[in-house]
Amino acid sequence: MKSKSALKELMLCILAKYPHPNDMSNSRLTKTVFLCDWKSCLESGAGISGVEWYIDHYGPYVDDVIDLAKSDTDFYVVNVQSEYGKNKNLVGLSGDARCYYHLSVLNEACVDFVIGLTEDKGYDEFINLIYSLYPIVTSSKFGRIDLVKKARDYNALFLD
Amino acid sequence: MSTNLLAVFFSIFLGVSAIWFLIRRFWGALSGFLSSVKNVIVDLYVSKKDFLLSALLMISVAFSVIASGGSKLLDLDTAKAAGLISSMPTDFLRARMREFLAESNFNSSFWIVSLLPGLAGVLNYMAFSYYRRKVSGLSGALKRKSAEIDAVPRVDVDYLFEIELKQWLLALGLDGVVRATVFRDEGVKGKFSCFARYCEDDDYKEKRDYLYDKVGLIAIACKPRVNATHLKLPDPKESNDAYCKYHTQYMGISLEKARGLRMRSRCYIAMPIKDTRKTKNVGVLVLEAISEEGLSAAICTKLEKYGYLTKLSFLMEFAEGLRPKISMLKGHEI
Repeated sequence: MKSKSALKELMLCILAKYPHPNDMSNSRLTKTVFLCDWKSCLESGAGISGVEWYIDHYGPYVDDVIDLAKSDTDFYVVNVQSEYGKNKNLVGLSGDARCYYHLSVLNEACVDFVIGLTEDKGYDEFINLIYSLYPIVTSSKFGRIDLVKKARDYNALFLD
Repeated sequence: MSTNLLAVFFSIFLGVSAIWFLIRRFWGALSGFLSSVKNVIVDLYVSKKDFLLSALLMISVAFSVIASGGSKLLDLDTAKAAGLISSMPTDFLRARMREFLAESNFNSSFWIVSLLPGLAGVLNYMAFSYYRRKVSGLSGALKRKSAEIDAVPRVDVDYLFEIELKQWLLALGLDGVVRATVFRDEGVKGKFSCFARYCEDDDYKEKRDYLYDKVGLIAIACKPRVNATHLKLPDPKESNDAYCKYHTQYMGISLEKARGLRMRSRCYIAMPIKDTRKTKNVGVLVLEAISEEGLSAAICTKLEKYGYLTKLSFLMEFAEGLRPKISMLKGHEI
């Protein structure tokens, strides 16, 4: 990980802007961070969070997000039951951390774009979107993804 | 003489038949007996984990019964106690009962009777602790499995296509090394994705890339009014140059790529996959075989006739909802 504060700023921004705080599980937050990184790579050729992404059996996943949320007092993590009766870790912002994030205008625009794209999607639809992304379909499981290179290749493709 | 011989043969035949019949009956009975013995053993084995629980509960119940019976015995008057002692079946039991009911042993008998319910309570506690730990262990395992299942997408497109292609190859009776690949038109210039692939041989199953250039068989199959292409290639073991040259001349792929082909296929079938309304090509099905006679031209007819291609068209549309084309996401700038 490049810098812990870059990831923290991104997480603060996502959690402050996301309109359904009761729906932000660890898995969803991690994948939203991934989407923001991907969008930023497409727009500016560099990620935001500095996370080195890894694809496990269930798509892009790293423990950095939940580890940071658990260790930093600006976040809280609660274990709740999903509507299907399963346990999930809900990540939220502590009361006074709500407005203190420092992202560039371009990075904040990426977060706005990603939230606009995913806020109305249920978990299954959201996961299908993640699994359909160019960097995921073109990478093999259980390996790291070079998002910057993938973004270069993707930008070189033209619509038919 | 011949009549006697016939009678002897007939007798032997009857004897052998009777013995055969008896053996079969005996074997049937023996099989039944062995099967029931096996079932009893399996039952015992399967339920043996609950022996501890059952034993603890039974001992606990026995202690409770003895305690309540014992306290009644201590209250008996002398005449009734004497009657009870004489009703015991053996000298040993009569002696034990006499000791228990004797005035001089009242204190020890009283304490035994009083402690037994306590012991029963301890045993009950042990039994339920064991049971609770077992249940919580199982609940934990169930939660972990549920979380794993939850994390998996509801429909695994890759698995769905792979199993479908595998069934086709089996149903078409294609033995030997045959590979089936579905290429999808992703709506981006000059590229198709290697959407699904199946080959029994793991060496050839892996996809080299996700996106493939629209050249070679893909380009041939996408030509207008082409329904099926069946090609037979020279043996690469005899002349690798001739094999690669065939690819460059007739299939339009570069010499470098032809040399780098992992699967040295001797025959190819390529068929366009149309959408369910038959308005446009959505992909290409490619079958390849290592053996010279691995794929006959009749396979093309079978694929059409048995509706495999129609089913594939349906599956491609179904998959589009789950995994949109690259052009669609690119259109959304993501």
